Amino acid sequence: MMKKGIRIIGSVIGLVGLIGVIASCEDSSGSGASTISFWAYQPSQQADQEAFKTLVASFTEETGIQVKLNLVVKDSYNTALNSALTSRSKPDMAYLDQPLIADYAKKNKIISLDSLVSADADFDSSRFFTGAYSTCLYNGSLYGVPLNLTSTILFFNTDIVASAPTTWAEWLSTTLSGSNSLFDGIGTGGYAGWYYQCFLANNGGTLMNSDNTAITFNDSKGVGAAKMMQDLYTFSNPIAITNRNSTNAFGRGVVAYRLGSSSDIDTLDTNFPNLHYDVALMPTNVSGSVSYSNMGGEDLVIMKTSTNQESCRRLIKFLLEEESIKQVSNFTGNFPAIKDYAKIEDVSVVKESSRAKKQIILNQMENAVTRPVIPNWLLVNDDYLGTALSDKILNASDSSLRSDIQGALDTAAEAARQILFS
Amino acid sequence: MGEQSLSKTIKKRALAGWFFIAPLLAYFLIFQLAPIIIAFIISFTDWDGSSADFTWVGLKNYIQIFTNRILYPDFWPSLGITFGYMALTVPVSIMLAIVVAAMLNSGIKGERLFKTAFYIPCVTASAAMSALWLFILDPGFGLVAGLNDLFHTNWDPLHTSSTSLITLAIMSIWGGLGYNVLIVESAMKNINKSLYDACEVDGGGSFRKFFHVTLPGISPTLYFMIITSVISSLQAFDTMYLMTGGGPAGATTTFMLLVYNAMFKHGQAGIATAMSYVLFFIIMVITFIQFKIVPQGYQIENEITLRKEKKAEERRRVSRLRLSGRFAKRKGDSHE
Amino acid sequence: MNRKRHGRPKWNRIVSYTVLSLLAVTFVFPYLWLFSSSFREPGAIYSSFSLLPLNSSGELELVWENYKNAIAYLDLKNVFFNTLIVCVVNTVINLFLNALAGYAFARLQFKGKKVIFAVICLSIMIPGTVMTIPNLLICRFLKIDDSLGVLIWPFIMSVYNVFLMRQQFYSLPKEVEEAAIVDGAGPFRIFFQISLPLVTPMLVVLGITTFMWNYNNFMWSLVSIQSSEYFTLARSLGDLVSAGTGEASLYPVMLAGSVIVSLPLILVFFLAQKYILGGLTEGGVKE
Repeated sequence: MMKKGIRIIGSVIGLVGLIGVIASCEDSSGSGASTISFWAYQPSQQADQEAFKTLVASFTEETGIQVKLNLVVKDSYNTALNSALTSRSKPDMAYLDQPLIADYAKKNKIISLDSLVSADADFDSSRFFTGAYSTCLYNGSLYGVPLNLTSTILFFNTDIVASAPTTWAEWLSTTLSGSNSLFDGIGTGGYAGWYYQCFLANNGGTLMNSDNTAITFNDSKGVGAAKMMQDLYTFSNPIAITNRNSTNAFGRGVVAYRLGSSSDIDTLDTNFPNLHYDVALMPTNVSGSVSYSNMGGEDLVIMKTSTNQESCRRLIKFLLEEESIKQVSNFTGNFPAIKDYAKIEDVSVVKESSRAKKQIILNQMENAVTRPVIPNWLLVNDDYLGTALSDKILNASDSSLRSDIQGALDTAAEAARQILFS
Repeated sequence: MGEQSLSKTIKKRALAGWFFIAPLLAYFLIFQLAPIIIAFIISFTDWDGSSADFTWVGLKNYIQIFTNRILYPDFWPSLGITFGYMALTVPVSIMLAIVVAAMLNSGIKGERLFKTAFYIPCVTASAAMSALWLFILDPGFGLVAGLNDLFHTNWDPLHTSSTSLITLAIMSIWGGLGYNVLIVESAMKNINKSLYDACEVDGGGSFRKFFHVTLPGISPTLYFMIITSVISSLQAFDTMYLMTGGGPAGATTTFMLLVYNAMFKHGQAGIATAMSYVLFFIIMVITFIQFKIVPQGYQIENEITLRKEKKAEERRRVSRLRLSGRFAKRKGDSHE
Repeated sequence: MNRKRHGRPKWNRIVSYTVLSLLAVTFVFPYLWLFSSSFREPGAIYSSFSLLPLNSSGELELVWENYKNAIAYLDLKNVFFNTLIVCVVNTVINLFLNALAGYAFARLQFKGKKVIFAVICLSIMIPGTVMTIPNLLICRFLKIDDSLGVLIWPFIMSVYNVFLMRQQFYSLPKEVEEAAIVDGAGPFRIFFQISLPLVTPMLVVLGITTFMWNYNNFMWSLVSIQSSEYFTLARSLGDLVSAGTGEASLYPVMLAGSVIVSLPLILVFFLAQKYILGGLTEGGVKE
């Protein structure tokens, strides 16, 4: 019995040692002269994941540069990327969420692309959507290349609302019946901050001033935007509160409006095929003005630690080509950042009839505003502005918190000041 | 066997003691002590967790989290919420585990099946379980909605500030039952059966047996479970992160949620480690108080050991008599 | 405990059975829902709450596609193999070393024993999250990161296991060991041939819990492993769940994945129970 035990333990330890040796020999970083490690968001469909690998393989065929593609789920992407920066398998280039450009640039985690770009005669910055391009500029230098983007639009239930409102006044005066409520939730924390711009911009306000030296979201226009969100929430109606706390209230047809973008169209078409809905541009509160909305998306960056900058540049160039960028944008459900290539015919849809809906997003993108390119903006958005909105201004149970919109925004602005300007 | 080989044996056993715990010590130094020290150092810097450079800021992080109500408004409230959560989960989960373990131990059929059923949440991925519970607790179409229709109420346990934490506490008790029952029941099975018989002979019924034999018998394990449950409930994070993300207006924002967000979402390693050390300090104080206030754990353990010692002594004397030829001297036998 | 109680009412048993059954239902019911919903199509899950896998037209339909997709998504073959290696190796090493240490604290006398034990117990008071990044740095320094080793070595010791093993060894009768000492057996032999076999039930219990802890370890894998060839089931499933809650069509695939990943554990647990209960009735702790 004991001999058998020792034999088992001995072989286990031997196995472990073997694994340890093998594993430590495995050098997973792209350190070969022509191998680069590329991190991207993982497409949700299995078929798309394979397609991504095929796309990258065709790049290798063309150029002889090996690419180690690492697809990471979007939810965990930022955490994983951050801890990978100092690991053995650090990326050479990667997707980066638009608002993180400033943080990574300031902390010297990504390189400035000015020299690489000026050496390339084909590179023309005017081909990109202006808003998307501006998210890559920090302190006057270009730190990333826009890859794809999306914007938020208004969804409405056509069984409840005949046609979409174009002004805030129209929006609020929608007639409802029975157990329907006006507006589905915009989420908590960071999500609230993300959608806030859809109202702020349409009220003529901005998050910060033009050279990012002062906070402006707590001025009268900011307060007005927050007030509109409060009004849409119709706290006087308990049914509205229940609907908002429930998931997919809009999909189940009990809510008149919600906000959303491309992936939400696909979700609704898949999960609620019998829902009758349509989309429209965001209503505005400034008469005669165009409709504004927020913008999000991914940029391509090259890490500071990369020793293969030239190979990375070539991969970036490859990904910006028409065929590649269209494919890659469909993987995340967004649109190509190059205006000419953002064609509605090439966008993937679940239902053909939704193609016209996605066109509205393309239209909206022409007047989409971006978040300030300043380090720590996401921190301000998630933990201070976003929570001021979702926990105070839109608090379902505490009406005293709701009544002091100015105070809530002032506190958030003060926090933002301490974070951004200290 | 003479006195010489006795001291050699003692030395050999002492050496073996060191040898036996050597891996533990090595592990402790590398993976516990070193990180603790590193984390402590980090809490005095503004490091972001991945950059190459950082600056020393001294006590700034600690002072900020304690005093800056604008930048860290959730610091004190989350301590309160965390303590409240602990007070909700620890007593209930332990008492429930004891009751269930006692029932399982009373010789019923299907013990295996029951235990496996209780253990299901522990083996299912917590992310999947929380997606599931979000579904059940949904006021629009889940079980909650059905109950609301039945009783004409407007109940939303997960999304109402006042009940949100309690809901998460119930989920935690539900999820931890399997593990707790396993440990308690295994401790119960270790209790000497003859003690039960002795109690019955003395005229005790099942209640007597429970309070006078079972409870004292498992008290060392119980004591251990209370301490570890307190410590782990003060670090509660998983369900809050997955189900409410801090809850309706911060009602379920536990301390570790703040730490996690600071560390992994916003790259504030200095702040996160400073907060963790505050929690560490609190946990140390609480555990210390527990040790002082409730020393019975060790007392009872010693008493049981003493009782067993006495019985063993009896047997030793008997066996000595039997093997009387083999050892001449047993005086000064200082084995434990 | 097989003595028949003459004239005693069986209400004890009835109450026990009722309470346990009711409790068990609350545990099994959600899992049944999980299991059944994993066979439904995405649209159907939200349209009707039911315990049977009904499709959108209300008929019984088993969508096996979900399981096929889940297997492909999880890269099941490789990931299962990785998980097996990590869990088995770590559990075996962990149990062995912790039993050794527990025995040493319980039965062997050496200087500073109490102090060392107290210091080690302190380590469970450190919030785990804060140790993550320093531990990561240390693993990188030791060059074991982004490999299976990083999932094994940082967890070979567990204060809980040491404590419980120590408890068990304390409760063993000393005379057998003492007789062996007298016979001239060394401490290691005593540990291995006498004491360890006697605590097998606890070993099995701790083995189960350690195995399962390793099996479900997600957070650490997220920060320490970048290459997908070293993913474990927990990591793959965690990714699938993130994707599934975001992307509608993946929701049932995510449920299927959860079933695939948790089913082996339930089986292992069920079978191990038999061993524990069996082991106690033969040659266990007898007085």
